Amino acid sequence: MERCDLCLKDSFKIMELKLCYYHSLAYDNLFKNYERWREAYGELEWRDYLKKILENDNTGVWVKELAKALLEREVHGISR
Amino acid sequence: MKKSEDLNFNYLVICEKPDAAKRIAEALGKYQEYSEKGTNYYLVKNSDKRYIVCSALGHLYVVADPTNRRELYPVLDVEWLPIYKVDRKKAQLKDRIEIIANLAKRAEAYINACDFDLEGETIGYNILKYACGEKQNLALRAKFSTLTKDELQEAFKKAKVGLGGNLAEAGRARHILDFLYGINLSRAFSEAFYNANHRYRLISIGRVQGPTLSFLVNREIEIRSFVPLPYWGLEALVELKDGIRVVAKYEHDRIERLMLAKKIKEECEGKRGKVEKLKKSLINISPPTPFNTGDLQKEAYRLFGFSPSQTLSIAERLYLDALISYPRTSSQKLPPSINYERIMKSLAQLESYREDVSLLLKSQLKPNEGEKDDPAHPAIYPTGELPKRELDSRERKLYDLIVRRFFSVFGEPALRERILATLLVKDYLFKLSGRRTVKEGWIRFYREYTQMEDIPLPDMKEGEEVNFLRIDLLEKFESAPSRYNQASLLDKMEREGIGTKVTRAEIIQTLYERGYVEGESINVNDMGFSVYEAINSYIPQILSVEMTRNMEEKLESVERGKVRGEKVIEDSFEILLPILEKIKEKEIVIGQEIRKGLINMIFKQNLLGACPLCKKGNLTIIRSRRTHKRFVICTTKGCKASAPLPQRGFIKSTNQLCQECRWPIIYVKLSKIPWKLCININCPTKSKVKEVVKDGKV
Repeated sequence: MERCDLCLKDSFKIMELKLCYYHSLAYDNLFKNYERWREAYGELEWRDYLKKILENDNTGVWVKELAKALLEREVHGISR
Repeated sequence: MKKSEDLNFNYLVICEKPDAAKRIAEALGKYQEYSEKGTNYYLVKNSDKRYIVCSALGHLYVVADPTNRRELYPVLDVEWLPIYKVDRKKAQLKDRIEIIANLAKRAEAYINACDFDLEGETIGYNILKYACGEKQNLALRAKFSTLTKDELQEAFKKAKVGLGGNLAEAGRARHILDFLYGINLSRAFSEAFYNANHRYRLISIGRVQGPTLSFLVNREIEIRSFVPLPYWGLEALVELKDGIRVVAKYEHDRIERLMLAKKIKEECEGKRGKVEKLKKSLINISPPTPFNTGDLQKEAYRLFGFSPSQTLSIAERLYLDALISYPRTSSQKLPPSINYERIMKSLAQLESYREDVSLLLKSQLKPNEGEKDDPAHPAIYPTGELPKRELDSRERKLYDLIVRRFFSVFGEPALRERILATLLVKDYLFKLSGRRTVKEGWIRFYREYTQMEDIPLPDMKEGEEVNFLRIDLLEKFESAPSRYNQASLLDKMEREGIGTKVTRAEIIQTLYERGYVEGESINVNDMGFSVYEAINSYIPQILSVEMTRNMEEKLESVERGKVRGEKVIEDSFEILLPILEKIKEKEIVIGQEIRKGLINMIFKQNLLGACPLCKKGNLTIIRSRRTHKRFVICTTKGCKASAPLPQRGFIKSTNQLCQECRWPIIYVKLSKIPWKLCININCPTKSKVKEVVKDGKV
């Protein structure tokens, strides 16, 4: 089994990412909540959403790791 | 000094601890102290009776696997053995057991005077059975909740056979059950680790430890995968009629859309509004209930940051000094038989409590009791005895808390007034709220430990005009659930009905000692996660609260005499054996999974921080295969960053960078005094030291 792109745990593939169970939970939360963020701000680009999530002190560490990786790989838009 | 062979006595009194033995001897009459091989006991001559009061040192007999082979499981046959045969560190207890056994041969009758609960009953029962030669069913039982002279004398007058009910059976069954689960599961997991990795490591898990670890992991997962949602709040700076300015909040604390928040701000800012409504309400706040063990542990954590096990150990010392009643109790009730007035009058001898007592004694004393009860002991209360030695600062704090809580439960309800002013501007409502204490009641006695501040509101009338000078739009985010601390975890275990008032704190401590969790706000590390994952994937029953709770209920039935301890133990095999079979079947994957967690944890512990040279990798501690020496390198391939390390002592990252060179600073502990060190060998701070040394200034 391959390793998670973000940690050393075993992974499975979600879109173009290899994620472990915990990072896949973070992935679900990240995507699920994008729509709510967009509604809250009225207008919010995916990339800006990731930046805000990354900067926020209340964001969980797995979500931050994922947001950082998504920003670095620029898979946003495609993976959505 | 006389030897025990020369002593004439009728009763052998068994106590749980040496301090309790001394206090009991003092209470029973004039006594002489004897000492043999470091074990003290007391001869008490009391009119027609002569007692020898001796003591255990906690448990002298423990459940053990007679084979003592750590690779063998399942272990289904267990024995009660003297503790010195099981634990080498307790070798000195051999003498104590022999001395008790010698005294027992000369006694005519026996009195069990250990603490009146599961543990105390088990300790006393085992000594009477094994050291005294099967006297457990003949011994009298002295039942008391404080170590004060009056209560002890009364307890000895009323001592009789069978007063302990089924406590000993329930206590022994609990010990055996916990041992069977602990030893078998831990051996099975440790063996799985060994067979998968050819290395031994103790992987401990138990009946209550599993569900407790599960609470922590589930909370950790919530926190780490948390995405905060944004929302907005509005705060208005409002000028009242007299020019007084106050801050009012929009009626809804949470506005979900930025557009809406902006719209309200635009429409209301700089506009005139009016006081729409003024509403005053009175709230009765009942006094708190008396402390039971859990409540005391939670309160001491909230106020002083004492861990639950620290609180219990401090309370134990106060109990042994006869300053407070028995601290291991579930009860929130204070029976009148403890004599509230006598206790208060006695406490009034202390200057700091005098005024409170005189106020309390003016009215009838009736405590505000809670619902929880305990057949063995009342809630925790001060005995009224005054400290005979100087208490240390922790003992003083806890003692004062117990005394003030005791006073407060007799106080009258407090009365607070809440004033809510609703301000209308355009079609929007803003609110202003104030609070004040109208009648202090019980708060007077517990003031130091309560937080009830007054928030005054300026005078205003309905219909009065106000100016909305400015409105601030506040962007806010939801917070993740907070991590458990020791007090909130204890509370969770109590609510879920797992563990006992005594074992809960110990189980939390074990999770720390096994290296599964860290920090004051409890954080599960990689090792904890991997043990949890291995169990959750293959034997999730071990994490099940239901399984543990069912077992607790069965043990309580033993206590109530509804079922025999042996039956509960026998039944538990039906659950335990299939679990062990499953672990054996999957041992290689389980062992490998746990190892991954261990590697991750060590990998993270060795990371010291970002590499200052390549700025891509991390500096990490590694050990040379050839020389076995440890040093620092960068995780980026090709990066030349490296640094030597002290070869002895414990090293960990401080997460700080050197102010001069920006390399990580580490914490090194070799002797008692640890020190911090910049790992960069070329750090300017080090060349400064070298120059000073060279110049002969040092």
